[in-house]
Parts: sequence; structure tokens; C-alpha cells
Amino acid sequence: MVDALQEARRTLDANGTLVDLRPAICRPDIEVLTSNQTIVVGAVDDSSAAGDSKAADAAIRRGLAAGWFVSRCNSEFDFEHYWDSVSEMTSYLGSRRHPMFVLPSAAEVQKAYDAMAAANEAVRLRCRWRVMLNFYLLL
Amino acid sequence: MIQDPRGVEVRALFAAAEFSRARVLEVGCGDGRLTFRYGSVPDTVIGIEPSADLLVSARTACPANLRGQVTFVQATAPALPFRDSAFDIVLFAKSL
Repeated sequence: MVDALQEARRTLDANGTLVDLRPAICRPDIEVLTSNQTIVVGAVDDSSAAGDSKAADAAIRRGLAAGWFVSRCNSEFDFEHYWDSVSEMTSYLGSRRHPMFVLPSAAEVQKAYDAMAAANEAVRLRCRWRVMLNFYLLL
Repeated sequence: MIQDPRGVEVRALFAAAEFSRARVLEVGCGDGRLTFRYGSVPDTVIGIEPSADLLVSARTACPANLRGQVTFVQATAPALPFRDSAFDIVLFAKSL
């Protein structure tokens, strides 16, 4: 990751901007949504990405300490994912660079989803991931 | 699957950096999902991605109106195949 930052620094023009867009390791809730209800039915275990996230933080700190960049601003926002089925959701989570898992289990979430679907016409699943956005100015 | 239907991500990007007329390098562009959302604003966007499969997806899915501005290249972040000072913005999109 430090190599990546050094390469970014090399290819940036004077006063260029480095943008680090990364999801927080936040164990987001899994919600089932109907037209008039939102119910939390589980959560996503995203902890497999924690090691890389810490390494990225360390690389940034090293770049800042070395005087490559200066922090310009940072913000956070919620990034929403919507799925029409539990299988669509688990397929997506399993395909990530760091596979993620459903808590307490996909079967439990499926039960809750099926119960809502039986009583409602339109049902969706949602996760809201906290995303960190940091901007750095090249020195 | 629907991701970020309200466009919060791109608004957050545009709020903090000047993408208009910029030369942008997006590191870890994947299948181009984010690239296509902001790609009409900068002068040029190069998206790099190590996965050949994802690159094929990105190139196939690239909207016709972006093909003059957006290019996808197979490359990795620690060895960028570009000259010095080539970009105004380097965006690590969930790839650092």
C-alpha cells in the first residue's frame, strides 16, 4: 500500500489531490423494507476486511509523516445497497474482495424476509454501509 | 441489486474536489460502477483494475457517451504505467 501511495504521488501533478474512498468496518444492519415498515433482521459481518483497512490507515499515516501529502478534508456518508432477495444479497456479499457473511445466519434472515413477504406486496433488503472519504493534497 | 440510488457517493466526491476539467486516475475501478457515475465530468478518466474479467465488464458496460473520455487499463497500483505528473486526481476507490 505504501508503494501504491508512492506511485500515486509520482503520477499526480503539482497540487494534485489523492482521494481515499473506503467503507468503514461497521457491521451494518440488514433491514427488510416494506411500504410502511423497516425492520432489522440481521447484520453483515465485514470483519474480514479489517486487516487491510488497518494497513491502509498505516500507509496513509506513513505518507503524511513523510510529508508526501497533507490532509485536506474528510467526510462520511451512508452507502445504501438494496436487494430483492436473500440469495441475491448473499451472492453479492460472498463475491467481495473480502467475503462477508450474514449474521446470525442467511437462514434466519430468510425466515424473517419470508414472514414479511407473506404479509406485504413489495419487500426489499437493505444495508447501509458507512463510507469514509478522505482528501489529501500533494505537497 | 441497486447501489446508492440517491447518488450520495458522487455528491460527496464532487463536494470536496474539483473534478471538472480534471485528469482523473481511478485505482481499482472494478466493473466501472463508480466510474460511469462521475465519468462525464472530468476531461479524462483512466480506470485501472488488475482483474481481466472485471475490465471486460467495464469496457462492455461503458456508456457510448463516455467512450471518448473514459479508458480502462489492466494495471496494479504499486506499478502505475503512466508518466510523472499525469493526473490531477488519483482516486483510490475502495482499493487502498
